[in-house]
This record gives sequence, structure tokens and C-alpha cells, in this order.
Amino acid sequence: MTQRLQLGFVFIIIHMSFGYLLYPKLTYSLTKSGHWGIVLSYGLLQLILIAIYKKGLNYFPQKDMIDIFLTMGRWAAFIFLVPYAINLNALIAMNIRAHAEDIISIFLIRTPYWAVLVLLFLISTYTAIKGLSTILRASAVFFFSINLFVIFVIASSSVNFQLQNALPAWPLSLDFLWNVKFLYLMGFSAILFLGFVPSETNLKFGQLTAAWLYVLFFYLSAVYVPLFIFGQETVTTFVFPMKEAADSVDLSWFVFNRQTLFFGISIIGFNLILNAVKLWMIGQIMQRLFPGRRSKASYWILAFSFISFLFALCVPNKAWIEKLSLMSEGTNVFFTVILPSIIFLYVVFSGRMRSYGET
Amino acid sequence: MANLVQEMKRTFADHDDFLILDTQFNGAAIYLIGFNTLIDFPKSNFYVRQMAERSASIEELLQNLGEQLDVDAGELKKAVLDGNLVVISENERNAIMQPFPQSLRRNIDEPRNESPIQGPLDAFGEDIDLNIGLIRKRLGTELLCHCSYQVGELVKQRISMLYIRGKVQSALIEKIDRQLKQIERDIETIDDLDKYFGHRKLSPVSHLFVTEVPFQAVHLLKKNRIVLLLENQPFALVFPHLISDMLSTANDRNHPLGLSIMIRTLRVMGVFITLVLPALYVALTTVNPDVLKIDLALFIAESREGIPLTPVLETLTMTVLVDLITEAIVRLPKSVGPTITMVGGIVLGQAMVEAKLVSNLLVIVITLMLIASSVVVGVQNALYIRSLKYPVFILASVFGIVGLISGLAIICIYLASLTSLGIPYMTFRYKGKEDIR
Amino acid sequence: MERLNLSKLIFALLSLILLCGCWDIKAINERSLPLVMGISKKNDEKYQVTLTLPVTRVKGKTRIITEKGESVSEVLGQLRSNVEDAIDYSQIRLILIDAPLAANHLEWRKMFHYLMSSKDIPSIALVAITDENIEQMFSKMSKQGLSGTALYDFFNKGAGWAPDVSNTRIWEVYQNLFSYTNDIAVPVVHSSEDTILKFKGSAVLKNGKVTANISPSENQLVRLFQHHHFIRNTENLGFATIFVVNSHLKNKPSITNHIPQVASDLFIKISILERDEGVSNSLVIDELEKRIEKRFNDMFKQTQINKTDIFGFGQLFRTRIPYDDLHSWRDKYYPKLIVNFRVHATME
Repeated sequence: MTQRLQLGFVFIIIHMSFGYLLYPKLTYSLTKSGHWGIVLSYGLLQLILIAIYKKGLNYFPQKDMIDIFLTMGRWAAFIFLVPYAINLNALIAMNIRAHAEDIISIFLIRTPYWAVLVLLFLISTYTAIKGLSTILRASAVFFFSINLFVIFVIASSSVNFQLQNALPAWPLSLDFLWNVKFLYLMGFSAILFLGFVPSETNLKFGQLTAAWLYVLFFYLSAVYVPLFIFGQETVTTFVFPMKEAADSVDLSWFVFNRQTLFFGISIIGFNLILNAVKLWMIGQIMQRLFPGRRSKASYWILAFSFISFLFALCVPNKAWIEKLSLMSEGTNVFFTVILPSIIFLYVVFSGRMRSYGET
Repeated sequence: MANLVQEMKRTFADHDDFLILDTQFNGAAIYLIGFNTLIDFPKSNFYVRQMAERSASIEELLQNLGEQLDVDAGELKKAVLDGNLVVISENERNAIMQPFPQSLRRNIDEPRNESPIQGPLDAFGEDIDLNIGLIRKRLGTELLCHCSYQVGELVKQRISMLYIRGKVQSALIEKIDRQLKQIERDIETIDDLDKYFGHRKLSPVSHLFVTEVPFQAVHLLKKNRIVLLLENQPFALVFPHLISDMLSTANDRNHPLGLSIMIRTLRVMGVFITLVLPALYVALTTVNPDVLKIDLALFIAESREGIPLTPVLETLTMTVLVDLITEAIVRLPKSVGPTITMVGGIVLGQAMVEAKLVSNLLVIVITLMLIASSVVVGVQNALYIRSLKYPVFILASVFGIVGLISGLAIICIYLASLTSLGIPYMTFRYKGKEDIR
Repeated sequence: MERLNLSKLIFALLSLILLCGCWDIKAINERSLPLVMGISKKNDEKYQVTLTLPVTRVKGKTRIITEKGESVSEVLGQLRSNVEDAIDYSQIRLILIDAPLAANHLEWRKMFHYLMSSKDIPSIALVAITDENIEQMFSKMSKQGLSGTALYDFFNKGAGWAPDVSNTRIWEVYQNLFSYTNDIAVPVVHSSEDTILKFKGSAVLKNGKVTANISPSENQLVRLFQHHHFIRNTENLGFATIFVVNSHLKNKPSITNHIPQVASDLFIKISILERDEGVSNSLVIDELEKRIEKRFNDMFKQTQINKTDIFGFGQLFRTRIPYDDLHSWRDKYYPKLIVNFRVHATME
């Protein structure tokens, strides 16, 4: 039970980390009104994917995703999981890079980004090497402190809310569903992480839905807090709208000058857990696919984190960060759709085969 | 004289406190052999004489006196070393008897390292049997199990394991049993024992929680833990050591629930302040003054005006100084301690501020930190929290607030990664039976 | 695993040592923290930036530095290299802009784009406009004992204390550069002999363009409509002085045939402080209602001519006008807007 709760925490933290980065900006570019329509339809689509994924996984109560692919055949595992690991690697690189940019603009204006990258990569790698159980246990502390901060930021920025700024409330059209950018939006999801824990000990679908609703609440807040303060016309000019929103608050009774402090802190927390989980996933994939005496998850994690560090180091500026992030998210969409469906199809197909065999 | 006696004499020729006392019984000589530093000879002799009067023959006397009869020379030597009295008669019969020991133990005393308020005041002593007795007296149930071990290379030392059957997973008990039986080296300190519970060479966190108070030990036994007792060590070692041990004692609950929650909250704050405060000072003065309100920023700037040391160096000096003073006071006899506190704390602190070596704000910060670091339960825990503030401090001095937060994150992750025999250190709900992962 | 950890530890320590002695580290007493920044542009087409820096060595003392350059960012850079301490712009509380520069629409936009995107300057810094010479004004201000809170307090007295003083922050000005339906008022201040600043009313901006100046009492109405702040103040009617205890505004927007309409009702509760002999309650109430209605109507007419939606009526029509048409609110709809402003005063 405790582990389920902690898995839920990690699930929520990972999504919040995505949500507070580029998610609002993409949403603003998709529509001019009724942003909740986008968030909710995104949520619904993800929920359907989760349902398919869970359905597939539940046929193998003691196996995780890698085992399932290995039972399909070694080749299948290689074809699908190795590219996925590479995609994860790119995601990590871009994620840390983008977060580093945000952190620098909040705290360390004059520090070069590589220094922050070194710090973030070291901690993430260390956490990933310590394994999932460590991540799960740490996530409880992270979850509560981060949520406290985020809720504080949301609550304090409500001073500047002008609710009319978010009007009109109804979406103008549903065109955004066919927009490529909406697909990118789908990439802000880490549901595949759930497959790395055998479904016996994993979250049940109902619990997942609850966690997902919580996540959606925060996605809505990430989209609407800047909108309430600045309005659609202004908000599209920002790179990190949530940061600007937190920056606009001036609490006279407070010790600190800037609320952004807390937003920055929560971003660091999100980022560490997110990247640790991703690195751990890579480690699991590579270790199982290339078994050998010297093939240890920790070596793979070290190697991959070094590669993504170099990759992140090479990205020159914000424009490139945005472009490359979108590209890696786009590829992630491909995997978040393909992998659950394949497991599901495999279950349906092999189940049918078995029933034929019996008759 | 009997050969056996001669042999004993030869073996212990280098021991001046080795004594052979010969008395007569029905005309035959009997020898009482032992160390006079361990045995109260006059009393024992008197007892032997009294027994002799009631016995008809030498065989009967030996039977009356001894627990073991007619053992070989090796056993006899061991018995002598263990502080027993060996009785040998002329015709080579022998017996090992429990003598009146010299009193080498202090009485049940008040705890020295913990000071329970409004709670039982007895503490564990050096005598392991006494310690077990203290626990048994409070837990009069047949479910309290006691396993005894004799381990060591040079000296065999007694280790006792106590647990309540049905509360602790039997797999865990078997694991510990295996670990304790493996011990081949001498166990002198807690750290020696610690090594057998898993590799944690440089870790500041021990596998075992130390308590001096039987009340606490019994409380933890009831909370599904295992208590280990080492001979000649005046405390109980509780396994597994959990993070909640730092924050709560059994004694808290002698207060109403609301108050005990407040006390525990204060302890959490204490831990937090100890870790954060010096780092926060450095972060705010060197890297991130922009997050401060302008008046506070100017106030700090004014207090730092004209101080030659950089904030990093200044804070480092003061934290190390404070840790030095704390350590010095512990080592010093009680009569000198207060003087050092006076000179070190007040005079030196005052002088440093007046000489403009450190800012007066920092002195406040450091004092606050020192006070905060002492609120946690257990000397060992206080020490490790104090040691963990340095990495946070170093990170904060480079990265400011970012470093401070990532330092805290690293500590959190590090503590989360600790397990002892598969039991995580950071569990808040330790259930024993089911919840062990 | 054990060896790995150790090597990682060493690596971490090494990188830390590498990182030591770096970029953002500067002790707080080695930083100069400017409080007020004045920006002006004289005829010579160069920006002139003036800063007041508190001197931490002497309590309560400030000094003023000035520099000229092609752009604000350039001047700030120059100042940074010229002053002995490192200037940290993160504590700037007030940005004073001189009136000619504020009137220049393009410069204003450019400047606020910079101020908002600058990582140093906080977006919560207050903005004010002044007609006077900024350097002289600064020296007068510092004579009055300028401090961070003094400025903050000046603009944040709270509606209960000084309802006519308003404040505007950088992010609000920035938002106004883009907003389709809302305009803002930036306070206009003067220096004074015995107080830090003197409030002179507000300049009304439309997408970063100054279109009118309003007096402090008009400013009260703006604040009422924009922020729904209570007006708690005294009003002299000539034959009586009343005190407004409580106020409450209700807006009902509607749109018919592309003509927007707002039924606006202001409910106020008053108590009469003093009055001439024989003046009845109803007379006072009538007079007050007429007075406020007239004040509003005059002002509203003026803003309609200027096409500046200072009251933020556009916000009410965001759902009623199709979004694609919203950007033409000020030009197409606002001049046609009909506001039925009624004041309902009651005695306490």
C-alpha cells in the first residue's frame, strides 16, 4: 500500500515537472480561448492510453514492460525499447537543459549553464543509481514539500488575478485536436514509467485515475495562473509564463522579495525526480536487453547520463532548446502511443491464438 | 600437592592476583583457586567452611558447592578467567562454584547521555544480566525472547538479543541470528557490531539506535524492534534504526498528545534549521541577495560592512569553532566545562564581533543553529545531523539557493537510500510483520 | 558499487573545486543596491539613467549616479563597470520616467520590453512619470531620507488610508502593451520640499501611449472600476462634509446590434461629518450623487474621445464580443459604449 502511494507520488511529480515547463506555452499557442478544453481533452486522451496500457500490463501480473517485450521475442524488445531508451536520453538532456535555463533566470543570472547542468546531472545520476526504491522513498518527502510550495505560489499569485483576462471561457473551435502542436502536447506524459513496475504491486486503474485528476488540476493551474494575471494577449510573449506569473507577486508581509524563489525550488525538486526516474528506466532497459557479467544498471546509467550531459551542453540557446524539446517530446508521443498499443495487441492476439490452440 | 593445582599455578604464574587458598576438610586438603580481584575470598572461604560442616564426605561437599563437577584442566582455566572459584581436592576431584564476586559494577544509575523529563530515571548499567533484568521487569511476558551469543576472538563477549515473538518477522530474526553467529572479531564498540549489519563505511548513520533508558528500549520492543545488549556497555542497541528515532522518544507521550506533537515538531524544525541556517546565510549574503526584501538586504549589508572575511570563510570558521567548543565541553571534566563555555562562547564570540572579524548577524545565526542542533534525540543523531550541514553549506556557497535546495535533496535521497538488512531507514510506519520491503 | 560511490564522490568534489570562485558570488556588502532608477531622454537623443544607491557604510546616506548612452541596457552596463562596487539591479523599487520620454510611444514600448525581459530588474518594481528634472528630483528625495520601505509605503498606503494614490508595476505596464480590452493609469509624481514625493494624479496609457492626464480624485474612480477598491474618504460638498464609509459597484454589461451597453450602479454608504444649519439629509445625498455622476460622465466622455478604456469596461465584454473582433474593441466598440452610471447613496 505504501509503495502504491509512493508510486502515485512519483507519477504526479513527473507530470508536474513536464507541466510547469513548456506545457503552458504550447497551450497558449494552440488556442486563444477556452484553454481548459485543451487540457481536458489532453487528459482524456492520456487516460484512454493509460487504460489500454493497464489492460495490457494486467495480463502479466508479475512481469514488467521489459519482460513482456522479451517474451514477445528478443528482436521485438530490441526494436522497440532501444530506440525508446535513446529517446528517453534525449528527453533527459532537453529537460535538464530547459530547467537549467529556468533556474538560471530565477537564481543564478551570471552562472554559465554548464555549471548548473553538472549539478543537476550529478544528483539525478546518483539518485538513479540508488534505484527505484530510493526514488520512491525520497519522493514522499519531495511530494509534500513541493506541493506545499506550488500551492503557496498559486495562492499568493491569486492577489493579481483578474478573472476576466481568461475570458472568453469557451473554446472557439476544436481545431486544436488536429494541430501538430497538440500532438507535441501529448508528449508531456510519462505514463510509460508505470510499465516498469510489475502490475501486481503497481497502482490500480482507479488509483491512477485519481492521481491523473490531481495532475490535471495542476496542469490547469499552470495554464490558468499566468492567464488570469496577464491575459492571452500578453502571455504568448513569455518563454516561461509561470515564472513571470510568480514574479509579478509582491507580498509586503513576507521576508522574501520574490515569490519566484518557491517556484524555482519546486522546479529543482521536480526536475531531480523526473530525471532520476528516466535514467533509472534507461538503466533497466539496457541492463535487461544486454545481459552480461559486466552489464550493471549503474554503468549504463552513468554512460547514458554522460551522453545526455554532453548533448545538453551542446544546445546553444533558448530557441534551440524549444525546438529540440519539441522534437524529443514528439518522438515521445510516438512511443507513448505505440508501446501500450503493442502490448495490448499482443495480449489480444496471443490470447486468441491460445484459445484456437485449445479447441 | 595435586598435579592439577600445580598446573593451574604454572598457567597463571604471571598473574599476581591469582590466589590458591588451601583449607582442611576432614584432614584432607582442598584448594580454592581464583583471582582475588574478581572474587571476594574471605566471604567465599567462609561459605565453603559452612558447607563443609554440613557435608559428610569430600564428594558431597563438592557436589554441594559446584555447578559442574570433575571437568578437565582447560575448562577449569576458563572458569578461573570468567571469575569463578575452582575447588580442587587432594584426590584430583574438582568443582566450579559461583563465588561471592568483588563488586565491580556500579549500581543502577540515572542516565548520563539522555535526560528524561517526567519519566522513569533508571538507566542501563554495564552488567548485561542486570540490563536484561531491567527489561524483563517491565515486560513480564513469555513472548519476550532472549537469545544469547558468545562472540569474539581474544575474549568471548556476551551479546544478547531480545525481541517479542510475534511482533518481529522471523526471517529478520534468522538473518540477525546468522549475522551475529558470523562474528569472529572482538566486539568492543558499537561500530564493530555495526559492520555486521551491512557495509556502511563512511556513513554517518548507524544501523543501531542507542538508548540508555530501559523505558525507551521496552517501548521500542513493543514497536516491533529488536534490542541488542552488549556486555559491559551501558546501553541497549535497537535494530533497525529509523529516522523517527531522531524525532520521538517514548517519554514524549508522558505529556498530553498535543504537547508531544509540539515537541516533535520542534525537533523537526531543529533538524531543518541545523541543516539550512548556515547555508542560507551564505546563500543570501553571497549569491542571492536579490530574494531578500530591500530593508533586510540593507540591514545585512550594513552588519557586514568592514568585515574582511568573505561570508563563506566567516561562516565556516564560526561553524567549525562551535563544533570544536561542543566537542571540548564533552571531553572536559564537569568542573572545567562551564569555564570553557564562558570563554569560548561568550568572550570569544563577543570579541570576534567587536574586532569586526565576523558580523553580529552571523553570531545570531550560529547560536540559533547550535541550539537547534541539540534538540534531536540521541547524541549520535545530533552528531550526524551536525555533520550533514557541511555538504549543504558547501553547495550553498557555490550555487546559493539552488545549492542549498539541491544539498537538502541530496541528503534526503541519501537517507532514503539507506537500508539495514532490507529495512529502509526512512520509513515512518514500521510495521514489522508485513511492511518490510 | 562501493568503489563506484567513492569515485563519484571524488568527481563531485573535484567539480565543486572547479566551480569555486565563480560567477554569482559577491558578498552583499560589496554590492550596490540601487533603489530608484530614473530614465530620461533629452533632446540630444541619448538616454540618461540616474540611480540612487544607499551607502551602507554610513547609515541613511544615499548617493546619486548618472550616465548617458544609446539604450537603457547599455547605460546600465556602463554604470556597472564605472562604479567601484558591483551594482545589483535586483532591488530596484521604483522607476521614474520623465514625461517627454513617456509621451514617446515607440520608446516606451521598447523600454518596457527591455525592463520585463531583463533578468535583473524585478517586474514588481513600481513605475511613475514625472515632469521635473530627474536629477534634481533625486537629490531632493535623498534629502528626505530615502529608503526602500519609504517608497514602497508611499505607493501602498492602502485604500483605507489614501484612496487616490495608485501604483503601477512594470508587469502591469507590460501587460497593457498587449491587452485588447484594458488600459492603465501610471501615477505622476513631483518632488516636494518636506515629503519624499507628491502625488499629482495619473497619466492614462493606451497600449503604451499616453493619451490623457487625470487628477487624483478622478484616479479614485479609476481605482474603483479597475480593482473594485472601496472608497473610504471624505468629500466636501461646500455646505456639508461627508465621509464615505463603504462602497460597492455593480456592472451589468449587455450588447445589442454591436452597441455595447453597461448599466453601472455604485452603492455608497455615507455619514455626514459636518453640515451647515438646515441642510437636510436628502439634499446632501442628491448633491453627492450628482457630483460623482458628473465627475464620471465628464471623464468617460473624454476617454471615449481618446479611445482609451481606462475603466476596463472592455474586460466585461470579453465573452460578448467574438475573440477575433476583440482587438478592435477600442476603435470600433468603445466609442459607441453607453454607460448608465448611477450612484445610490444611503445614510449609515
